[in-house]
Amino acid sequence: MASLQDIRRRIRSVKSIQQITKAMKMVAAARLRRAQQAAVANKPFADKMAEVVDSVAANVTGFKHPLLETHDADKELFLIIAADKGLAGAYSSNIFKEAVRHIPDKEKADLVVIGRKTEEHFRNRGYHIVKEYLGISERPTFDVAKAIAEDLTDRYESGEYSAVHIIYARFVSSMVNVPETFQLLPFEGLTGDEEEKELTRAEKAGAFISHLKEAALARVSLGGDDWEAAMDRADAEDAAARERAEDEAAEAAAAEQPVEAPKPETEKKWFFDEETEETPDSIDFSAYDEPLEEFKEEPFIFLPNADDVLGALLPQYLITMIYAAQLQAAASELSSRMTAMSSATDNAQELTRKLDLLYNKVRQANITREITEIVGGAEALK
Amino acid sequence: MPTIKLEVVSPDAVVYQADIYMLTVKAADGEIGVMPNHLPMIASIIPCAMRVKYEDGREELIACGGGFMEVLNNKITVLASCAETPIQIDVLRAEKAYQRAEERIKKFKSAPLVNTEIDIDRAEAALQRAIVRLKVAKSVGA
Repeated sequence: MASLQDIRRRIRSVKSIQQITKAMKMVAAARLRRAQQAAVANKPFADKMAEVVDSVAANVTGFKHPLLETHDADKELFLIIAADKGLAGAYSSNIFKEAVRHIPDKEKADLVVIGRKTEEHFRNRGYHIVKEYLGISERPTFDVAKAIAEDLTDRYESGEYSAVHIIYARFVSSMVNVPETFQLLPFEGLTGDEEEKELTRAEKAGAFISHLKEAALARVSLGGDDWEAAMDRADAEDAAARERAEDEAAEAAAAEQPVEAPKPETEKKWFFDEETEETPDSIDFSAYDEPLEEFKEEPFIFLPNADDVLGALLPQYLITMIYAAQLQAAASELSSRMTAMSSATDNAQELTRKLDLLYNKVRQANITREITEIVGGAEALK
Repeated sequence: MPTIKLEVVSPDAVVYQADIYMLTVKAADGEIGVMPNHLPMIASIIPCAMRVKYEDGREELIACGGGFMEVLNNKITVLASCAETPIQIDVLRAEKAYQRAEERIKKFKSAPLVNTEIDIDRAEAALQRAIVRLKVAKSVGA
């Protein structure tokens, strides 16, 4: 059995570790709030950027840009974002696992890494790291994102790589983050081919609808009981809308007939009648009450022109994506650290409690033993 | 008088939001003004002091570090790599940046072949940004 002194020492060390983890938890929580705010504040910019790129790309055909070109190379470049510091639970190792899953062959992959832990991990395992960014994982700035984007662009334009991927942890909530991989370059779905574009748009719409349905189903299975009813209702509304549209089409077809029939000449007034103040029949002002259909569907004006705008937009878009990923990663890292440190603090608490119990047990056992010894000694002397 | 919505968004925040009467910015090929009910438009803009005119005739400047502008459904969205309203500008920092950039450019111009470590494009962009910031900051003080 451990001596009293040993246990006392152990309790003291656990307590001081608990203080440290508690402090780290608090620091992570404070920083997490800031990181979360930053990620939220970036959202309008990132969303709008994607929207603008989409609407510009839809108006461009046969556009050539270095970032859209595909290269016939067998190497791929990976940008991996993980932590600078440890003590963040499984945050970094989850990302490493995700990365290893996506890197088919380490000989054919070059890495650009963010975070000291990332660098150590991949260097020790013999991966080829071409560039590392250290000490910035927790606090991303737009300037760093810009520098990374420019570096990646240069490397991609050299024609050495067939694609550039990014691997980072998407922040879902302060308890959950999901490692995610997507292709940065070449930009997909922005090809100049009109038909292909239509297809990808249709695909996107289809994917979105099935995603919605899945989400609805997931909610049903989670116990949202009136979801099924809601979906039935939506279906019914859908059917009704379709019927209405058909009716309208039929009406429009019917209405076309009388127009074709020649009107009697006498009924038509061609001039403004000053006496009766009647406007001529030939002008139908009702059409001006509402914006014309074509007006609503007016394509964008591009200054200076669509190609130049898209050319200037793409590099910005790349920076935006990298910056958004960095912000997400920072929030994920801090939330992981907070959770890890919180459970470490709880564990320390539990451990102190157990050690206290043990300490008291041992102390009491010692006292009992001493008493028995004294009593035994006294008895022997009689 | 009709108005148009303006939203200025930088990567870190929504900098500015208001109903305005007219916005004047520098596009890649010249200054353009956007008034209510403008047709849909997307323009790339260069670093400039954007001029915002309100219904009552007041004017205000907003510093913009270059980016894009989208006009759609009577709403202007400016996507700028950085954007600041006059009160958000750190005048001291802008002045320092101005001097630094000017020095660098002077040094480069004096001996372009020797001072190859100076990135002249960057220095000029920095100078441009500093000038815009100072101009915007001064528009309020006067």
